[in-house]
Amino acid sequence: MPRIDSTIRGLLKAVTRPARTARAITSSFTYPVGQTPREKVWRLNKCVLYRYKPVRPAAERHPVPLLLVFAAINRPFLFDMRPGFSFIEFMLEQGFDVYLFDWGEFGPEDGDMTLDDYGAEYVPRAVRRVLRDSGAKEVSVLGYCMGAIIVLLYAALNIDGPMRNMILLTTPLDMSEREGSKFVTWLDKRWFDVDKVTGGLDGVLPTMAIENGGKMLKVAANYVGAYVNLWDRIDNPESVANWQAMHRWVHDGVPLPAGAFRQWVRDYLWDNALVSGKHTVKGQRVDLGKITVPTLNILAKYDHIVPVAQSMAVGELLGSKDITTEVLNAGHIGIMAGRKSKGELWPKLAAWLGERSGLDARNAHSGARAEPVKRAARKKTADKTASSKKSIAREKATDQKVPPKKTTAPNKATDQKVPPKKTTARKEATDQKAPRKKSAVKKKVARKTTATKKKASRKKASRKK
Amino acid sequence: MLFDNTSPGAAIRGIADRLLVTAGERIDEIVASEEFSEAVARGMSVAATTAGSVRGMTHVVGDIASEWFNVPTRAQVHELSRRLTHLEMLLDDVDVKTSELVERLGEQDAED
Repeated sequence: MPRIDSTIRGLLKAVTRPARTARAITSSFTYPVGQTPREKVWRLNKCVLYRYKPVRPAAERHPVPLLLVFAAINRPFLFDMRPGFSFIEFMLEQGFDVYLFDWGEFGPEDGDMTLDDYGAEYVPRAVRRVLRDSGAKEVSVLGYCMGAIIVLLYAALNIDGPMRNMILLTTPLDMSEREGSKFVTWLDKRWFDVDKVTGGLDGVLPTMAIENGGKMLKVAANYVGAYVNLWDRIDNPESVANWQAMHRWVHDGVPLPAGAFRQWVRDYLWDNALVSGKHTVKGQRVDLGKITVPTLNILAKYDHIVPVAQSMAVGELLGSKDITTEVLNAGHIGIMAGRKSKGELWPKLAAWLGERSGLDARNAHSGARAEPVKRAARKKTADKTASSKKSIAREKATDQKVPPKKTTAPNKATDQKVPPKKTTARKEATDQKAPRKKSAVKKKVARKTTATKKKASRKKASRKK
Repeated sequence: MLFDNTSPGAAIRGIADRLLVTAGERIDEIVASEEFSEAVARGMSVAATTAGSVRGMTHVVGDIASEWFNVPTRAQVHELSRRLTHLEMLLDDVDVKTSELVERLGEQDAED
């Protein structure tokens, strides 16, 4: 009898499988996502700043809040997929005060907006609000994909700003790295007329174009493979829930203002202006070499949207001496919302940030002070992943710059000073650090005054005697 | 799984999977080629130009109709939206400055 029962059940499952698969697909468009309790703190234009309800008492929380900045072409609920599988939920449990800056949905009236506006107008105001709302004096900022570029822009334009730590996930920075990037080939200036295309748009790049552009990067996997996966896992409710949340995210895009798209293609892709240091915002040069905040640069080994070589440049261009580069065995999206991310990226990120978000972390991890650069790890990962000749050449160059002793003994090197890199950009950066010199002079003067005060007090004491 | 490993169904599925992988690789190669990129880019330019001119015409008609009914045109609404956003930013700046001032005054009072 039990055998017959199981056979009948098996048959029923097989017969109803197509219907269940179809139902899972159709219901995925309304799948409940972003369930972690939050409150609206502030809004500007279509953008909203949210604060997530802390789950730990104030005494157990890190004093430095964390601001999340997602790419401007997708919804940020990738950080908060579903209860039990949410990066934000995890960070709250780890004692972080989490804020999310949601770009909202820009319309045709925002067609003139550029990426510079994102980094120079919106993010600084959001940071200011986070500080005001939390009562903290500093903030850690996490940028993902294009959000990482926006965070970099903000950091470079606000050198003396309140950013304490910077986390960059899959940053499409060095666009001269063409290997493995279909976007770079598609949008090549030899055939892609960005002015003509954006001129024909209704102020924004429609979500359909962005969605299909992303899917075309892996045609079979995205258009067919995703549904075959669902078919195979339809009997596993956990897998189906994950699939539905991801399917909703993929099909719930955000239009990008035509101005931002135009600027991204012209300045960042064609001219590689951020890397070459030619980019200016309101007359201020964007010099990444001036960024000295502790930075965690996370790359995805199997990223087909932002190849590893494009993000590797972060470690080379930033002026910070506390840069940790991690290459994880994941894809562009899977790195944050994949099955392994809960046990891989999230704990690593929380540990790195936790070390640098305490009360004494400023002294321990200040970018301005000598810190052991984790170049050994960077080199290791780069050797594994760098595919193009150019990136290999760059790694060789960095090997020549850094003495091998420091790479082999990072723990002992806390007091060692890492020699400055020999790039011209860095030289310019150091030349422009006028306020630092001023502060050094001020310190000298202060020292002198304290010395004279001490002398005077000694004289007084001797007179009394 | 629908089929066990020894059934004919599993064999068919295996073939289908391999076909999908191979086809996927070939399509990816084509999509990544310069020829494909050039063709798509040119197609997009043509489509954008056509769509742009059609949209331009509808906007003109819409603007005439808006003026006829004495309601703001699309361009005017957009301009208003931009100005409001700018005003929002200015107000935000003022709000921050005033709260800073209030804090400083509070500190001074406390010192006095």
